[in-house]
Amino acid sequence: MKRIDIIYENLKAICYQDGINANDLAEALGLTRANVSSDLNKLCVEGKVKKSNSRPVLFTVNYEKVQCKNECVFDRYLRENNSLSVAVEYAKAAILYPPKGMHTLILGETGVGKSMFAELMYRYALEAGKIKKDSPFIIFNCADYSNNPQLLLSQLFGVKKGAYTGADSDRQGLIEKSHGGILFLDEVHRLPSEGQEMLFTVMDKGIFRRLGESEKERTSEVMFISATTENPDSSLLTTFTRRIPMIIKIPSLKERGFQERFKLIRTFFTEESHRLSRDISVSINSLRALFSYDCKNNVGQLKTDIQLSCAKAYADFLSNKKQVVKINSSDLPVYVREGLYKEKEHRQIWNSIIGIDNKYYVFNNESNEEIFDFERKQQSIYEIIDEKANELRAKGISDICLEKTMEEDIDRYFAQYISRVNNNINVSNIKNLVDPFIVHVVEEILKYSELKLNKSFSQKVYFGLSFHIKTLVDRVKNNKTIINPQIKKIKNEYKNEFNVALKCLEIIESNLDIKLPVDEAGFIAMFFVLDHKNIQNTINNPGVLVIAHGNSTATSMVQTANTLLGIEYAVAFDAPLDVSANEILNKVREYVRKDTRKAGYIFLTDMGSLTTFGQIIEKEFEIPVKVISLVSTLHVIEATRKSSLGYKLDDIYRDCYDIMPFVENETIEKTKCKTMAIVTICMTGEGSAIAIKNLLLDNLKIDDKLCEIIPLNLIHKEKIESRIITLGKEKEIIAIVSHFNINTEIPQFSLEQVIGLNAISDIQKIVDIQSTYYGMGKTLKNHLKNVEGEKVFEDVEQFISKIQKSIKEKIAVEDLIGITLHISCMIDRLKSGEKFIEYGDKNKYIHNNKGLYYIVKNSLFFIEEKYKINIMDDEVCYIMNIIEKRKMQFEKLEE
Amino acid sequence: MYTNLKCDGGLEMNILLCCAGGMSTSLLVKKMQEAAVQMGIESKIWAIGEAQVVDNIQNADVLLLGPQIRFKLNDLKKMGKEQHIPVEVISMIDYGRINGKAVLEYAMKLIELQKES
Repeated sequence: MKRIDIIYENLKAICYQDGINANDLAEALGLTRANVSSDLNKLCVEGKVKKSNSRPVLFTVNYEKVQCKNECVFDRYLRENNSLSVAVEYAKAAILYPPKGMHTLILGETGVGKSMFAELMYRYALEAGKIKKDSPFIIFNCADYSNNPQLLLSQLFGVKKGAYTGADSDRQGLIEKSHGGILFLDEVHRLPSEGQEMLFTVMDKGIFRRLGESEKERTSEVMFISATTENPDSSLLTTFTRRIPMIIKIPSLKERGFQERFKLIRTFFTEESHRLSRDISVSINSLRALFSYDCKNNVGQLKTDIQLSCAKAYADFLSNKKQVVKINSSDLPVYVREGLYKEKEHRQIWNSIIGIDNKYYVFNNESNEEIFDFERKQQSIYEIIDEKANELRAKGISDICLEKTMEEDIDRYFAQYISRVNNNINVSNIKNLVDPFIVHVVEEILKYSELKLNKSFSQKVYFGLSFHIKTLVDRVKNNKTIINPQIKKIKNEYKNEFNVALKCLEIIESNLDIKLPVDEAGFIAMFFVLDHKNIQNTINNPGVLVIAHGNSTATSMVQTANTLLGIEYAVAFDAPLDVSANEILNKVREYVRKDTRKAGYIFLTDMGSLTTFGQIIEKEFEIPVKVISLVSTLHVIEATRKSSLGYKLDDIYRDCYDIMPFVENETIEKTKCKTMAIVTICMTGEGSAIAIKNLLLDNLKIDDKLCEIIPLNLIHKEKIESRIITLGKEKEIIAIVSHFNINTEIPQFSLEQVIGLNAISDIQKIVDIQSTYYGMGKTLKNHLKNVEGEKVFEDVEQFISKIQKSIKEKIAVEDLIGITLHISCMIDRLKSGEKFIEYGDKNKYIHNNKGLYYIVKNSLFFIEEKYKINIMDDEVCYIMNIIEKRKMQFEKLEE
Repeated sequence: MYTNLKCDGGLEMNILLCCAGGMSTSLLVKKMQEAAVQMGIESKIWAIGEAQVVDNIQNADVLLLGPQIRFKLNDLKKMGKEQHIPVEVISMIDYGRINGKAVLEYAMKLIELQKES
């Protein structure tokens, strides 16, 4: 007995009322959980076993299925492949046709699943008892030998010894081997013409000869299933279509419609999940892409692309790059990702199915939950109420309180429901999703209500109500209760709407032949009420502002994006060359002032001063702003799409940034060449400056490759300061020896201190600290496990230069060492997948230091990207802390 | 995060290191432990984040701070006084070079000075 049978028999024997989970069963049988789970799921697919919707999943024998055995392999196949019902009817007919079935030709594009269909036919023939249990099913691809017709024919028909050179023995062909069974000829149009006639003879009369045989006619009872990708009208095929009685066309992926594509995607992911025995998280964006991309090679390609993405994710998981098997759109091949931009026409449908809150969908290797089941995907108002009510009742809260707490939820639900539906909704789309009969009823109620309430409803209500009633009907059919905790309030506040809704209830009842409780009228009334309330749903989404040079550059990009996405969302600010940047900035200011959103903005700019607007607005309005420069239309589309869907600002920024990963979005100051300098200044001519230099060289331990001593000749005091600044751009000036005070933060020593050698130890210390800092790349190299020390050092340097630019202050080298070590270790630690360390009361700290928070977070962004790590707010807080408090030390230490 | 090392005659030394989060000093801890083994010193050396000082200081003979949290020095010095242990900041140079030996020697010196006083 096979393992799967053992498991099935045992499950029968155990016979728990509520079923048993995979774990316990595995233990009882001494098998591994993964095997048991996989077999149980197979049994579920076959229908022999049922599973619960609870967690852990409990399995029971499906006795209904045991008793009624009439479900055949095709019935199961149809569950996932609805649109193939015609093909399946034909196939059944072909198999059942007396006496031995009918030869069949399967047509369809590459990858539609012709081979699989042929195999199903074979299995159906077995199930139907048309062929014996051990009858052969042989597959032959005519393209395999197409450059050698002789070999091809010999494979098919067999050979007599000596028929041609190399035919050294009598050999059976596949036609003989297939006797009593089915022979599947794939790419049959590749069969050479002489073979075609021979084939038709076998088909018609069941007789043939081996190659080289003349005397003996052989017979073989074979049912032929052929398949081809050729257009049935092509001349190649006319012979076949004329001679083969049954022609079955398998539709392409496109022809099968999007509901089925959903199902297929789900099935493939679930299969992979079984295979890996792990959950697979797939980002909603990835699902969107898979759903919409141009899948030329049909189901086959879809399946391969999904398998490849899973394999890649699994590899990332094994190599610890990711914590779970997780697929993001960036993991998909480019041509799949392009689907994201093609999905415009399905946007509304997606939003109503998946919702905008979920970022990932988890395909589970145990449950077969139907995620694309339209009525279940979006949590309906009923489910929200049930869930909430149970929760509250469990806490012992009375119904009066219940009503109050529910109020907000219900309001939110309707606001979401209606706002999610776009104005430009295509009516034909609704009919794909909702039973046209229901749509018809909705039309009727709306007509009636418009008349009675004397107002016209938008498409949103039409769409929303259609979905709502569909859910309603299903619910009533499943005998589930409908309660509206707010009914009293609605009755009082919206009397007219409520009365109209009552009448609508009657219309629905009589049309759909169901009985509805009065509570339902409360819900319907809300649709009428909310339509004309201005629902500012997008106010909580980040704003998209496109600011670009030129008379209409920004406008045209924004128009393209908005039109493509079917929304009015992104806002354009054109900056003609003759208008000053300040004027543009004022326009932006004005816009932001009027706009009350809190979620922040993403600024898409092209270049120059426009790129600085973000920081200005961020400071002035204390609202987060992210800036992407070198904007392209693609950026605008991506930003607009994601913002309108309610993504968070950071995520949008990251995704836009990803569009062009090789373009640094800010010009980073080139890090200085790592040398330092001590400047000596003398008023009495170069002579004494050089004398000081020699004195320093004699008394300091200096690596002259790293440190230079530069004598400067003082001509004018103001000039010397600018000369130091210029020099400071090339070298790190660590100390100045001068006999008068220079306005700079660089440590200064007087001539007397140096000549008296009092300052030497201090200068030496500065030199040592600076060299230590320069050497940190090498030091880190020996200590970091997961990243390269020298590279990390450079990146931290870049981070620091960003910070310095933002806070407009220079961080002293003393602090650099600590910061560098801290951040390098952090990167190393996060890269190893270790847990971050919590920062106590981080929210308060961030709240009180918002400015610094955004500076640090933004400056860390490229590091997150580069090392593919996620730097949590806790980590950001530690860094903020070090940067913020670094100055305190001097004051305190000097006490 | 610590090791106990046995050796002849030496006193066991408890050296506590502290920095933001406790992670960057842990590199240094490893180096110090290696140095301690080489020098044949019995020691317990461990690193913590600043928040955990309260729970750890009573087990320490000396507390050393990473330079990036120098600003905590005065607060922690007070705490050290109560426990009669020295509290100092690690030298920038030794820290930047992850020079375990030098920091260990510094810690030993501090402990000794404390005993004398």
